[in-house]
Amino acid sequence: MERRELLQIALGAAAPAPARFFTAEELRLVEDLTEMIIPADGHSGGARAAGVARYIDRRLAEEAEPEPKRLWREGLKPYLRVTAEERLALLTRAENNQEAFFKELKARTVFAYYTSKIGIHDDMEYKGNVYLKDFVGY
Amino acid sequence: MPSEVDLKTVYDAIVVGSGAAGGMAAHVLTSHGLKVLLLEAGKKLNINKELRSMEWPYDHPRRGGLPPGHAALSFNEYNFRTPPYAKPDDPRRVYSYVLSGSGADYSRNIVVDERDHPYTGTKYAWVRARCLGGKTNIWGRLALRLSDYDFKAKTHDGYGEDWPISYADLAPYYDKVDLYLGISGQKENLPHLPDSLFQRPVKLTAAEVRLRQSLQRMGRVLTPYRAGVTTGGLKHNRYRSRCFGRGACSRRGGCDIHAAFDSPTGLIFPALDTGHLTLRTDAIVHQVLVDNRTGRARGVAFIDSQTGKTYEAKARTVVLGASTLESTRLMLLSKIANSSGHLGHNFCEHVMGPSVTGIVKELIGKPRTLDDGKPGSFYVPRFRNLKERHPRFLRGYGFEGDSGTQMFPQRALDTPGFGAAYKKRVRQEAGAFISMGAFGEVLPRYESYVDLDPVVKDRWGIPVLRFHYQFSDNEKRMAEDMADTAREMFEAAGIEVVAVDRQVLTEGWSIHELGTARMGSGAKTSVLSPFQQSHDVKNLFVVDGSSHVSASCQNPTWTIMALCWRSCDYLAEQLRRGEL
Repeated sequence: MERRELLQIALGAAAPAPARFFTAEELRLVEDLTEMIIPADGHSGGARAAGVARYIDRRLAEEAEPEPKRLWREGLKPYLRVTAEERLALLTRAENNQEAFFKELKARTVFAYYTSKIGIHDDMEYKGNVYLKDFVGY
Repeated sequence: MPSEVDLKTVYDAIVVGSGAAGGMAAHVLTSHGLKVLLLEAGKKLNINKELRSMEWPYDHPRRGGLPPGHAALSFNEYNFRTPPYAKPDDPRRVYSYVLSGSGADYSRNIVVDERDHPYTGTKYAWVRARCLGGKTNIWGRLALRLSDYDFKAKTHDGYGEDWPISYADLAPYYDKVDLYLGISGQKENLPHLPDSLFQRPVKLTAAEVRLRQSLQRMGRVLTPYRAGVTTGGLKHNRYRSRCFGRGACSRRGGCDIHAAFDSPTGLIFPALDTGHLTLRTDAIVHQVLVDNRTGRARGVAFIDSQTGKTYEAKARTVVLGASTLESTRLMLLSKIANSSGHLGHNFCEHVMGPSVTGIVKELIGKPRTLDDGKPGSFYVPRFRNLKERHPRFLRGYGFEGDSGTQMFPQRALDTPGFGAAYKKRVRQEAGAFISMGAFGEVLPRYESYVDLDPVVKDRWGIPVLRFHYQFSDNEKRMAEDMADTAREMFEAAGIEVVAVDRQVLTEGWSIHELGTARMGSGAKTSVLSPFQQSHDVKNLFVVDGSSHVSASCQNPTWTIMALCWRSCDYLAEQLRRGEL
């Protein structure tokens, strides 16, 4: 847990910690976009519940290379300018054209989601990485 | 662990290196009651802290990724640049490609920082692990025997040299290694891939059973992964547990219960318990000291990696197990053991890269099973150039593969689309994929060699190796065949092929470097005797992969340990008789 998150818990603050790389507006957008990549469904929670945007934010804040940061900052701009309804069309077109930002958004979302608690346990129902009472076979 | 050890003593043997070879030498020599000093260039890791086999990705701040300021070399960097791949003044720590995958943070203390360990010459992905246990801490665990198709390969096809030993010489020692360390597998009675004394095999998945049955009709074999893992337990070793099949076993960075063999718990800790072994880590041996009058080794000189101080240690025999290329580098640095002119030459390894991925339609949407609680899934032994002769290349290759559910859903990054349909598709297909990739024999050639770079030195001022090595047409033609047969075998089994990769990976990628100090009967054309004894320096033994005459396509670790055991029995007997 981040130091300032701990601090906020200690202070009893209700407001979530600010993002470290994204602006507040960008963070809300990334939460929406990642949820569009992997949405909640009847089976399991989606990217929003899995905290995917926060994870991407932390990794980008630590990133030493300028290129990924630039890609995200520039890549998000068109989505900030359109309504929520228009985003789907934009995202679909980005996928069809295999745009660099779409590939980055999807890769980071997929990695972060399927390495999260929700992704591993709820969605994939992964059965391993536990001490077994009895040997169940391989 | 005291960093200072008794260096006044004349030990019976100094063993250099603590991986599969050095660890085995320490075990066998101490079991004969000999007093042994084991010198390891790297550090002793706190394995309880280091091996975090059971940590969930979400409990790691970067989901297993490297911290800022740490970087791994990419395929492109190896292929489009020449070594050295990292400059000494690079502000980042730079690691070899093995740290480029997810979970790299779990093994970054095991492999070297490339800035400190440069090499030059032709492109080569050289992976080195400097710590107690060496590469056994991260090895893939496939534990195979060689056969007379390998030891007598020249007799079979006319190329290269036969080994000076046959399978019958080594079989009893393979048995010893099997029983002492534990191996999982299934008997197949194949002349070209002899069976071990197996403990319980891993269970094949539905997709693998299907492929096995189809291959049977083609006269080929799919067998459960032969793993250097104890599935039945080892009563004689208190440091290792049997395998519980817990899952997520593919993470590099070791097995925290040591069901998978590693040299520290499998060989070195038990050897320390005998009271005959002295261990000194952070000891970079840079010279074998040879008495000019007698021509015999009297000990070694080493540098403390932390303080830079130099020391000498004395012994009646010197045993090198520093890894194929490091042992050869050490002999080149010492200007010894090269009356044949073959030291550094006849370099060989395995060529890899071509692979196939398929999906078994009938398995889509089936309930989740635990499929990854094992070190590997299956192995398809060599089938080329056994009875028939392939028109385009010599020797053969085998496939390593796996299938079924893993912690991270297979091909999730490659599945097209996004949204609810994408998510559902990933979920349903995750357990239905099967894939395999080949490892092929690279022919040894005199022209494939390493020597010392006249200029470049490592962080401790020791001259580094220079590579003169690249794949030939035989390897390239073999690699084409790998991709073709992989596809053909999947299609014959009714497995829908979703991807075929034909790319040959950079030289060195297999981490199976072999040769450069080969064994032989004659001192004119080989560096070592059939007991891995230097023809020139009679009390010097070289017990790692550098002694191999040819690479076979079978993974070398088990053979390294069997050969080492045999040679160390011989060494102990010769010492007892006063012959050394």
